[in-house]
Amino acid sequence: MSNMSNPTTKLSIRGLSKTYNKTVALQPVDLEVKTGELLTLLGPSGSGKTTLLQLISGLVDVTTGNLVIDGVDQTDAPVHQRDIGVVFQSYALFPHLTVRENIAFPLQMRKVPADEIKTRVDDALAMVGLAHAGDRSPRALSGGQQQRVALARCLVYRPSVILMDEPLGALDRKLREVMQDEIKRIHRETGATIIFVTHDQEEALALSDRICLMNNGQIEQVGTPREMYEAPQSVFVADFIGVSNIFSGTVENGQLRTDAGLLPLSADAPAETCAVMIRPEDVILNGTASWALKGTVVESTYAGSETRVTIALDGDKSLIVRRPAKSEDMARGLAVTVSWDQAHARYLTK
Amino acid sequence: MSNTTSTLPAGQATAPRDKRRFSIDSIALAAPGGLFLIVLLAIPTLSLIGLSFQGMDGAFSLSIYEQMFGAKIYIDVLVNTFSIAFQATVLCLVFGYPVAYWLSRLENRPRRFAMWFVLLPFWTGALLKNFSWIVLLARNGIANSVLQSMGMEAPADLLYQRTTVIFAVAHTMMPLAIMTMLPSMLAVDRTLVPASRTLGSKPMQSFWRVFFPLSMPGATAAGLLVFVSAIGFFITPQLLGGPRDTVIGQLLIQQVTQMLNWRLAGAIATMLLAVTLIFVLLYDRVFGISSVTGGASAKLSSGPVRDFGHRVLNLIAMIATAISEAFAKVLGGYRFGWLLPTVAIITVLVLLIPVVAFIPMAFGESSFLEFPPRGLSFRWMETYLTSPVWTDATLRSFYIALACAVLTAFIAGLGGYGVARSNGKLGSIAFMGFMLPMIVPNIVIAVSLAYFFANIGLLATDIGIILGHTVVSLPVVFIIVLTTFKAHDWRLDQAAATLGANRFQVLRHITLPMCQGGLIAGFLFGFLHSFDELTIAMFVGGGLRQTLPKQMWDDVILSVSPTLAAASLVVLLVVTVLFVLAEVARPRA
Ligand SMILES: Nc1ncnc2c1ncn2[C@@H]1O[C@H](COP(=O)(O)OP(=O)(O)OP(=O)(O)O)[C@@H](O)[C@H]1O
Ligand SMILES: [Mg+2]
Repeated sequence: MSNMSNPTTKLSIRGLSKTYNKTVALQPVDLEVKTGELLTLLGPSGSGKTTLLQLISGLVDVTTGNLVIDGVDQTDAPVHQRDIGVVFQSYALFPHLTVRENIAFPLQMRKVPADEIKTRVDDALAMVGLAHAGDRSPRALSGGQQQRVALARCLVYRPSVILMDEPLGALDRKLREVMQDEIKRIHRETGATIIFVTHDQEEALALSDRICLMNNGQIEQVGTPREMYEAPQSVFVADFIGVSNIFSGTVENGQLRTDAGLLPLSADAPAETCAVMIRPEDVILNGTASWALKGTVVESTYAGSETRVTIALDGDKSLIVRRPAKSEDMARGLAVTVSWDQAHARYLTK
Repeated sequence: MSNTTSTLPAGQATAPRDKRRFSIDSIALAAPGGLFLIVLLAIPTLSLIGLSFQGMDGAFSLSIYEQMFGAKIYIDVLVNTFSIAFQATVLCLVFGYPVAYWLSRLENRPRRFAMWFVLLPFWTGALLKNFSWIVLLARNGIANSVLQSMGMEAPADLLYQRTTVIFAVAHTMMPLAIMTMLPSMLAVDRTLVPASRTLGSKPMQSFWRVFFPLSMPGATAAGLLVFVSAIGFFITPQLLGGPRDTVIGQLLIQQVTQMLNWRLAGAIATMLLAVTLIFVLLYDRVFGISSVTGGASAKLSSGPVRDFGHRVLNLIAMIATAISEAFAKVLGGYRFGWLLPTVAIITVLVLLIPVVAFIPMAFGESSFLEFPPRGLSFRWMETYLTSPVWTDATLRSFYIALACAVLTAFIAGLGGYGVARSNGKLGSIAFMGFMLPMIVPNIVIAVSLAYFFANIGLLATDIGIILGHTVVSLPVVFIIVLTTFKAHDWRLDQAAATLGANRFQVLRHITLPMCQGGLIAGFLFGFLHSFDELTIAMFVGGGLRQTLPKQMWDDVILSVSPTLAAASLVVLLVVTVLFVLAEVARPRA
């Protein structure tokens, strides 16, 4: 049956779940990962990202469901037999081994001949730019260098799936951007399938082919960064990815009744719409639309390339607007009207 | 112009000097401890060593060493001592390691619970456990009944056997080994073994090539501590061994308490000390002494020793993997999860047997000790409570332990604070100094002090015993206090200072309240250490000032009466209560 799945599917997860004693860490989820793609698992703390990763790597036993890699059911395969590499958040470098020995470890486990080990370790070291540091102890390296060793140790045996659990979490912003580029380059060069955990949405947007957004042990939505940003399917997704203005309310004869007033709905809005979402860059101030909400400027923050204006609306609702930096200043207390093009509004049903 | 430029560097130059003065300032608090150890450890030991190199006339002479190495009996005793100590150490490591490993893998809560069962036999001391073995392993004891019910013909002679001695020494030292091994196992990053599994290693390979080498510092430190303690240990060989199992400790007792032969005692002590030092130096050479304290270094040792070690481990890993794979095939998977807990729990139960067995024995009816006891009576409790010999000894033990705890807590408290607050070279020297009484065998300290006190009139006085107990309990208390102060967040003190508190107020309102758990624990452990200490009490008490353990010792040498069990029960009770209090007070790092 699994042979029937799409040939470009690398990894297929069906109803996979995990329960610890009575706490549900992961509810049954389905997910397909395509060969060679870089998928990020994004979500708030405790949403089950690490758990899903551990289930895929086999480090914890599954409660229900199954896992198919390359058309073969691997649900119960021992960890060391899966063709998977894991980069841990804490790097998990062996402190009693040198950098070189760390990288050689997976090859020794696979009984690769010694001379081949040597050349492959050299290549891996060169790939991450650490050819000079092979005989050092991992403890004597900086955080970024340790991260590279961990990456090299994972790449050296060419696993076809690489799992990374917040690998950049411990690095400072600058180094993180450098390492993001590095990971992208390695992804391009090796063609490996990468599943990358992060709780930083900017990182997810910058890196991924696709994002899998998780919440409360469930998958909220899977899609390309553009789909996630432009077509969120739930309030949670809209709120989590990017800055958004969300008005929740109930549908009343073609309009949405919200705390901030009645909002128009376009004809194609689903009947069960429960919220309207509009991105800050799509809000029009003092426009000429047939409808508008009244508000006052609360704050205007200059941020170089743009100005962010916060506007107070009725019903304690506030709204964020992004304007080109060159546009005229908006004084605090200034009365304005806000509206938007119906085509830019997103209708959320949950 | 030139004026300003010349004052500026001078002003800068004072800044670092101020800083240095500050660190000398805090390490100066270790001075009382240093002085104490110089007077009561260094001088006594060195003068006893000096004595052994003098002839009758006071001139330099090796005659006593010629006499010692010339007599076969002394050589035999030496061989006994080292062979018993070595075999017991091996047993401690082989059985202690799985227990420590099992403990290290438990979650925090169950681990704390399980640790009680290792710590209880640790703090009940050697005496009780060995008394218990006498009863349990006696010809008509329970061990023999069990063996006979399993089909053995005649009752086996379990007592007065070399094997029994080795077993009981290992049994006595095992908790020390476990407690020494555990911290370095807990320090192993929990992601490393899973990481190695994802890199393709089989379970056995992960253990032998990743976990085991990382746990080595603790295991080797345990080996060193157990061996050093075991070569000066005499309780088990005396109580459970035959004449052919005599060890150095017994020889020393004989030479000092019966023959007052200080020169020979000095020679024996010198040799014990020399052997200990050789082992410590060897250890330092191979592993680095800092690994005793669990200090991790960023530098990897290199060279042939490391290569050889890795080769051996790889070989073991290969063999272990082959075996486990074979079994896995038979069992249809890696179903060995039960093995470790089973071995560990059985070991811990064996540790507990002699401790627990005492409780019913104290309430037996018959006029000799037996297990299981027949009938229930309080007559032995009564004998204990109404006999002045026993009550005097108990009271003396109490106030000696109290005085020792106060003194130790004071010295170790100052020293711990000083060392925690300094990170200079002086700090690590002071650290080593405070640990010395742990490395010098207790019996050497005891003999040296007895000699020293005999010269200054403190022999057979309570003060002498208090001072001696303070020397030997310093290391443990110091470590507890030091870890407490090291874990303290000193920024809080700085914050308090910026809020207007002076140094004394900071100490009173911030440092002490936050560190009080550790200090109380240190105090209680000092008390415990003194309360069941025998060696110092035996040599320094001179047979006149009987502490409770010494009274028990004399009683067991003469006759093993049920009064002894009653007394032991009291000790067990006091120890358990105090140790529970101490463990509860002690902050968790
Ligand atoms: N070993 C465990 N025992 C019990 N509960 C667990 C265990 N591991 C995880 N959980 C629970 O499962 C849920 C999901 O945890 P998980 O570690 O997968 O979250 P996460 O998305 O990785 O979060 P973070 O971003 O903080 O790493 C959490 O509520 C957590 O408390
Ligand atoms: Mg996580």
